[in-house]
Amino acid sequence: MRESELGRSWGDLLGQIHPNLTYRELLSLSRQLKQLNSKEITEPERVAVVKTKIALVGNNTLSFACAPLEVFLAKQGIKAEWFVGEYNNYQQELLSDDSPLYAFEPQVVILALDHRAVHFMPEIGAVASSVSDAAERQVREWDYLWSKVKTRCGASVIQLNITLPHEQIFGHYEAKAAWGPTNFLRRINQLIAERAPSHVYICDTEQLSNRIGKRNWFHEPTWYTTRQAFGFEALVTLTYSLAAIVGTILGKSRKCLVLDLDNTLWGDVIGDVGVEGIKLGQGDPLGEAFIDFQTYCRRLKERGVVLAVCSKNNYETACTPFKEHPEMVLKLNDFGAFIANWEDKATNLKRIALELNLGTDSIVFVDDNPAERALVKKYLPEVAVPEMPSDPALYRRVLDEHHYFEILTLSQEDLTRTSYYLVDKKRKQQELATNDISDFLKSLEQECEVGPFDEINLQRIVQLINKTNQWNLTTQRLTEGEVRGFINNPSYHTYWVRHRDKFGDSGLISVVIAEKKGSEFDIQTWLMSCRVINRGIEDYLFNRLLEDARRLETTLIVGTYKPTKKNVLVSGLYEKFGFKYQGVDDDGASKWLLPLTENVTSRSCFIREAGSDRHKA
Amino acid sequence: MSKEIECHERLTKVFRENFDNPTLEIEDEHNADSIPGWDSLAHVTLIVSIEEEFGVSFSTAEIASLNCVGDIRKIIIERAEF
Repeated sequence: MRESELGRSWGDLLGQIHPNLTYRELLSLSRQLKQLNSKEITEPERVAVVKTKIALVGNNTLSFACAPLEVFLAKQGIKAEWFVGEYNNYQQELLSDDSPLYAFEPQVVILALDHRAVHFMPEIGAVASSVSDAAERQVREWDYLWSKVKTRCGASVIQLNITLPHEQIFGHYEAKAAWGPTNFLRRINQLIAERAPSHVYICDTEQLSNRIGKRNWFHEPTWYTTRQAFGFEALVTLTYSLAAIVGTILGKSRKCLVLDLDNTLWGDVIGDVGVEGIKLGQGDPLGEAFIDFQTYCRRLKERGVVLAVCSKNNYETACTPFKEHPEMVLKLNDFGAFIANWEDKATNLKRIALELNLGTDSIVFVDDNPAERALVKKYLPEVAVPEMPSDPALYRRVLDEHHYFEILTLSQEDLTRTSYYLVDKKRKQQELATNDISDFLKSLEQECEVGPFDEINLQRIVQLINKTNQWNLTTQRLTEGEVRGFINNPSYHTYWVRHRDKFGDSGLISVVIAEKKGSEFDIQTWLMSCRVINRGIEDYLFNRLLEDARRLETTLIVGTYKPTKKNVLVSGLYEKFGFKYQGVDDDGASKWLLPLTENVTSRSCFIREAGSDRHKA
Repeated sequence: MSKEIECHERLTKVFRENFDNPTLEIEDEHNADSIPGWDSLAHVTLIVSIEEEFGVSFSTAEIASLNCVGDIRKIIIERAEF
């Protein structure tokens, strides 16, 4: 994929936007976006930019909301012009036919009111009927404003409901007495919901304030010095949600949730541990968390979000838990698309979008692996890629807090959408343009450290040897004692590989055991953890083996591939490396030879050597 | 690095960022009159940015009365952990 440098910088900027930024970070992003705009740099063409006009009015200061709103809207491909009302001037602005607000011709009016805008508070000790009257009169006042907007300019209205303040003059009794301010404001919020006509959407500010806590939401120094009704942390939370609702009004909400499998829908790697080994289900804390996350995803599906799978796995392996695991909540027919292969995920997401006939900008991609997320962010900046927490127990909450799947109304189509995608569905095998993967690998800043087997790493080496199934050339299992036997055995040349990149340490992920037999360098075991497949680590290691084989004055490298049910992934490895096929033995294992002529050269890869001693010869 | 130098460097960074001026130099006596763009809105975003940069918070009275670089620097030196 080729994008201009300029297009890429726009994409990079979008990739940095997420709901947990600070106000200062948002200001900085907003300045950078402005700079790109002023240079008339256009966004990548995939992101169709929608222009809109938004008016912000209310009974408190709203000027600080524009910068974060601009940033969050940019993420959704929306560029807005602003009208910001004067402090506490919303009634005049909305009621007067010739107000500058109507001259501005907004498409969306955000009406930001807090409890101070409630004029009709009931008397202390008021009887129930007068309490209802007060609430009715209050909401009727706002209803009049809503109607006025509709008739005067036809804009949609986003009404903030009332954030309940944390002080309770009458203590807990406020929650009992109908006239109690706490109870009354709850009644007001209920009435807003009941009375809001179809062009009025509610931003549930009360719920947002509960999420970050009233102590964080209300920030008195900010109120007294700026008349902004909440602190700047609250402003970020609020503007993120407002942008999500504006996006939904403009048809930019997300429609499809694409899920990784291993360590996203269940614990551990299905290709390695099999259906009995994955963590999923009652009795195991993490297994229960995965069940709940699956249930959350299924509920999203039931309300109209299309689910899809994008996994680095063999297709058959990836399907097994759905068919065989008794506690699996999600079933194969819950997914509108199911892609499991070894290609990069940006390509696969494009494929999923094509299959489902959706834009990539309506996709949310959930993957536990930060490298996969980075690749998608880089090549498809319009895809929403939430930063998932390392603890799967928090997946549900984190995904939920992103407000990706806002709706304005619930339609019948929402409730039947996935079945639509499943009808008449033969998986289209499409050749799609592959991304320039080497750019991505370069950007990972990978380092490998290689060393011979030693006591410190013995446990992990034994574990890898006995657990790895997919990227494993001979699947030769060894006991701890056998592995220990290789240490200081002069005929054997052993290698462990540690890998890290800019996202963190992958740990010890690959193992090689080779034997020098006269002039032959015989690779008997070579395996690698699934987590780091397709990063070029095998190329890096091949170079190391080649170097050592030459230094040991051997003239031939011998490789073996022993097929199993799970290791088809590496069936072509030696051929790719230029080895010559030498036939199959009785066990079905194929022999591969690489004579060390001058023509054999090292392979290119984007991995640096970490600061370790060179492997001893 | 001494506390004063570090404070000066980080404070300069915040001012440059806030006033969108990559070459801005700040002196203790600089105030809203001598730094272009230091209006009441910019004052608030400046305070929010300084609070985040140094992990300090300003009281209501301070936000209202701080109006030169020196006043701000004094409070940071007093309150921030370096």
